[in-house]
Amino acid sequence: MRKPKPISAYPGFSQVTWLCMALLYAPILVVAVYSFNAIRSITTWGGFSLAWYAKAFANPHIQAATLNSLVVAVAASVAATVIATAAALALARGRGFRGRGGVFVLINLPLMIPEIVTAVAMLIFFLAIGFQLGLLTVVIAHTVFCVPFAYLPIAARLSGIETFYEDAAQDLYADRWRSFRFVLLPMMMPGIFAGLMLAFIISLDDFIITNMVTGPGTTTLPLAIYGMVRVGFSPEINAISTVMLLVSVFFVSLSYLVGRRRA
Amino acid sequence: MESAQKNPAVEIRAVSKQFGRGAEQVKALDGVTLTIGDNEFFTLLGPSGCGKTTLLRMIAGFEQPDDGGIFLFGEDIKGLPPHKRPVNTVFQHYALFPHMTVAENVAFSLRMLGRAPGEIERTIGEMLALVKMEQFAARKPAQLSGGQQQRIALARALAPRPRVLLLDEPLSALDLKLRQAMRAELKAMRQRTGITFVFVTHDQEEALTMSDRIAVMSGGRVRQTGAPRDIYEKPCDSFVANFIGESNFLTVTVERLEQDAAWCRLDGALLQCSCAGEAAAGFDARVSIRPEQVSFSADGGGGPALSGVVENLSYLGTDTQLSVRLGDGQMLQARVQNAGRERPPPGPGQRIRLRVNPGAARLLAD
Ligand SMILES: Nc1ncnc2c1ncn2[C@@H]1O[C@H](COP(=O)(O)OP(=O)(O)OP(=O)(O)O)[C@@H](O)[C@H]1O
Ligand SMILES: [Mg+2]
Repeated sequence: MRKPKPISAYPGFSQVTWLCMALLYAPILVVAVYSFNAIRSITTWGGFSLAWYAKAFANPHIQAATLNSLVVAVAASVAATVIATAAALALARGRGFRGRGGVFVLINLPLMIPEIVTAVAMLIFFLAIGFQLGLLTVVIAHTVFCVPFAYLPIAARLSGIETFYEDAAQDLYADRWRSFRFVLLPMMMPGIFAGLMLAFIISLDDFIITNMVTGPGTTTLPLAIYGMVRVGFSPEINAISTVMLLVSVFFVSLSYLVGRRRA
Repeated sequence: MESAQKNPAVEIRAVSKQFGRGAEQVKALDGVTLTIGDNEFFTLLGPSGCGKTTLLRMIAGFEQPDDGGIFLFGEDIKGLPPHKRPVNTVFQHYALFPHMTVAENVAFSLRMLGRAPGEIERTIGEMLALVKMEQFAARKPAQLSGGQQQRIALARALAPRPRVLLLDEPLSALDLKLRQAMRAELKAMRQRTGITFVFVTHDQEEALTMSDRIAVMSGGRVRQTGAPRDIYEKPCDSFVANFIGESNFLTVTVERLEQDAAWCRLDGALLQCSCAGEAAAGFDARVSIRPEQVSFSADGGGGPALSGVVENLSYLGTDTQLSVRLGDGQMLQARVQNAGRERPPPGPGQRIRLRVNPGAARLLAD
């Protein structure tokens, strides 16, 4: 059999690639570059300055939104990671129980349901049970949709750990809890950490669900940015967006690197 | 007096175990009964899938028997979880904890047992010295070679001084030279520690060289139990004779039975055979003859002997193996040592006379 030609050898390949890259990343690049613009314009360059960063950091509205975002992201990602870890353990290590496949689908369903549907459903649910909308409802909603994101790296990690390590721990006088605590959990840690990072970023970035289930006066960073854009554009928004971009890239890279690490 | 009351280290009574249901059902163990003495190097030997690991996991507590009982020094240990059994295992893939150093691996059981820090330190030192790995205490398992990992697995399992040590094919991942060196070391280790070893292997040479006693298993049953010499020289059936070493299987007619010998006719010659089971005079039966128990002479001097034509000749280094067709058409493999022989071995097509050492032919039960 002939070896297939490398895809880069086909005519037009590099042109199409560059076009896609440009469409994807040029706007982001523009946002980042103009966040350092000295003048209030997003079309003409007036020299380098960090003024918009200073202004954004000093804005009390943005400060409050950032704090809310961090509180929600930390709480939701930790809760989602705990739930995802328990689910992964039950599915991979628990004795075979009826409806395993069903549980797996349920855990990952939030990935497939359109977000707006989840958002509406949650809003109706909270209203129906008379739950006061606010930071807590946002945390609960974020926890729910973060579970599958935390679950994937944890389950992948766990499925790569042979059961003989737990057998060895129990053979060496550890009861089930201690074999989990001292052997399985440390071995799962890279997966758990990767899941936590991923859930954190997904939560930090969410707009649709947050917008729907948040209460009056409670804003997160994406909501604050959206609100500012509607009022009128300012390079301040570029600055916040660039910081968010960097934070995301940092955590996703960390998640990837740690998740990939062997034992 | 005391020794008469002494309980065996492990006693397995009529243990059976099935896996799966319906069409996928596998009988992993089928009425296994074994007695393993205190201080013994006991080997479970058998082909892949015969139930060796299942039996070992049952002694360790990872599997429960469907039927029968397991006793440790006379005590019924059925239902006792693995962490409550004074038994440790060297796993086939070592199962060293990758996130712990060598010293932490060795210390694990002692920490779980709540031993004093001073004692733990001392035991780590002793165990690493025992396996000659002192200088590796701070390494992670991934930074060790296969042979070194194997030693650490051994040290880790011996650290809590178990009453019985279980070893599941611990040498199978090592290369030949290292494997041979480890055989002698394991045997010496058993003597030094005074701990009963239950060793699983599918390598007959390993079993013969290391064990005090061997149980040959196949299809979830124990076929024969005995000292290496008994297993090799007095196999009870054709499975054992075939699995351990090489053997000729020949059809003979039983002529006359004595106390524990039988006289059988093979191609006109009368052979003195030892008996593995019941035999009846006048009937055909199968005998097993080890190739090295057959000697030959080109001229045929000295007493009644078989005669045949050499069909094939293979040089094996220390020995030469001859394939000889007997007068009645059956093939017989004979093996002769190359050292100290003046004349060259007979060539193909040559007629030679063969002699089977008295009692070396084994009349098989099946
Ligand atoms: N957990 C299990 N579930 C289903 N079948 C099993 C299980 N464990 C073992 N078996 C089956 O039981 C039989 C005996 O297995 P066991 O692992 O004891 O063999 P073994 O003698 O150790 O073989 P090997 O030399 O290949 O390790 C095999 O047919 C195997 O497929
Ligand atoms: Mg096995």
